[in-house]
Amino acid sequence: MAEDLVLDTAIRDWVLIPLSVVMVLIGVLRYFVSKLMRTSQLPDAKIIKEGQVIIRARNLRAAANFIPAKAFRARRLYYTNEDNGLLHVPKGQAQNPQAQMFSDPNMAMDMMKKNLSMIIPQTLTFAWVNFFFSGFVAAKIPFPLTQRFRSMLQNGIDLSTVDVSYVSSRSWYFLNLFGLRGLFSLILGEENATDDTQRMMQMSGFGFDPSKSLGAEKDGLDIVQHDWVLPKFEERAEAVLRKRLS
Amino acid sequence: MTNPDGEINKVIGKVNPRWRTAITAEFDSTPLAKFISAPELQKVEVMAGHDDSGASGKKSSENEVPTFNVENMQSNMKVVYYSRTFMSIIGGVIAGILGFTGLMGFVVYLLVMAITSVCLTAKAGFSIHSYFDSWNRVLMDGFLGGLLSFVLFWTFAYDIVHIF
Repeated sequence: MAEDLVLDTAIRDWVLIPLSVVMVLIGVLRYFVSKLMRTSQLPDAKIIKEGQVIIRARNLRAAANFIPAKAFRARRLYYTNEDNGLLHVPKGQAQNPQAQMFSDPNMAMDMMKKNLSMIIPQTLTFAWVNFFFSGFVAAKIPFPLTQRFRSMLQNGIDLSTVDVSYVSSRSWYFLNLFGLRGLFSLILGEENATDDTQRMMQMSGFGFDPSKSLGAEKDGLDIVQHDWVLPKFEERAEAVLRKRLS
Repeated sequence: MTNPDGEINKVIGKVNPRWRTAITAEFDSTPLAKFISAPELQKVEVMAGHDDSGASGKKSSENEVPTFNVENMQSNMKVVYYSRTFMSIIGGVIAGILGFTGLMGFVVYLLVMAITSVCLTAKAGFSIHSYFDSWNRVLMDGFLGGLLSFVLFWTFAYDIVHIF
């Protein structure tokens, strides 16, 4: 068994360090490119309005117990009454989000741009790594692993006698791809390009069906049991104030 | 407030200004929300959490009402996540340079995470429940997420210093 491979320092200087640095730089570059390509679409006033109404209703529901019963009832009526309550959606006005998406080509375009800005650099880097560094033993992880990890860590080296803890350059690329996510969130702030999945969720959330969430919020508000939690509020305030005075 | 850990403070300082604008934008929608969360704003300055005066007033009474601000807690969780990531990267580099291998490296990781937890607790003034809803938030969250970064930087530093 090859217990201790001697690795050339040139591998360190020309494979390991450049690879890692390039990965970091490409991550940063991708962040700024996707920032440049992001079109600032004008939000629809109606959607914004409905979103705000939902937030207000949610706040009311969360804080229902901190206001007197009368005040709560008045507010609830304001939101949920059948004639002109804010949360009441007239039938037939609901817009199908799917149809909205098709009618708005910008949306699909945005989605595609985001996907491309994610996929293209990754493909390019992978091709670059494959072309220049295939077959190198680039690194050694400092802890032992079982044989099962061989295909993961020695991608591109077809030798079964090499100790598993040696990492090929292609696998080092993959390790970087996943492990640098934390670093990116530190240097690029929270909304970096790596959590595209989250952004995708937001995107799909943007075309949400307003009538449905309005209705859900209305139902939620309707079934809230009001339970006034500060019944002796005034006495307590009085006691505190008296203590202050004396 | 004295900061026990320079790094954590740096991270918190990075997060908070962004958050401050967000919170002002968030809460001008209703007077009701303002009533609930206005006292929180000062607290956010240091580290978001429950309202102190309200909590102490309620403690004296027999029926304790848990007041809870979800947005502030999310900001706190973000701070925890940032400090954990930062510490795991730093810990990885240190473990690599010192040449720890095998189990010893993971012991170092555990140690670093423990130190981070202690520092976060100290940062919260040892009253976890006024900043987080449970101890798990401080002790456990981001533990596995930091491990990947730790292993990467550990390997990187170890290879550069010791292997070649």
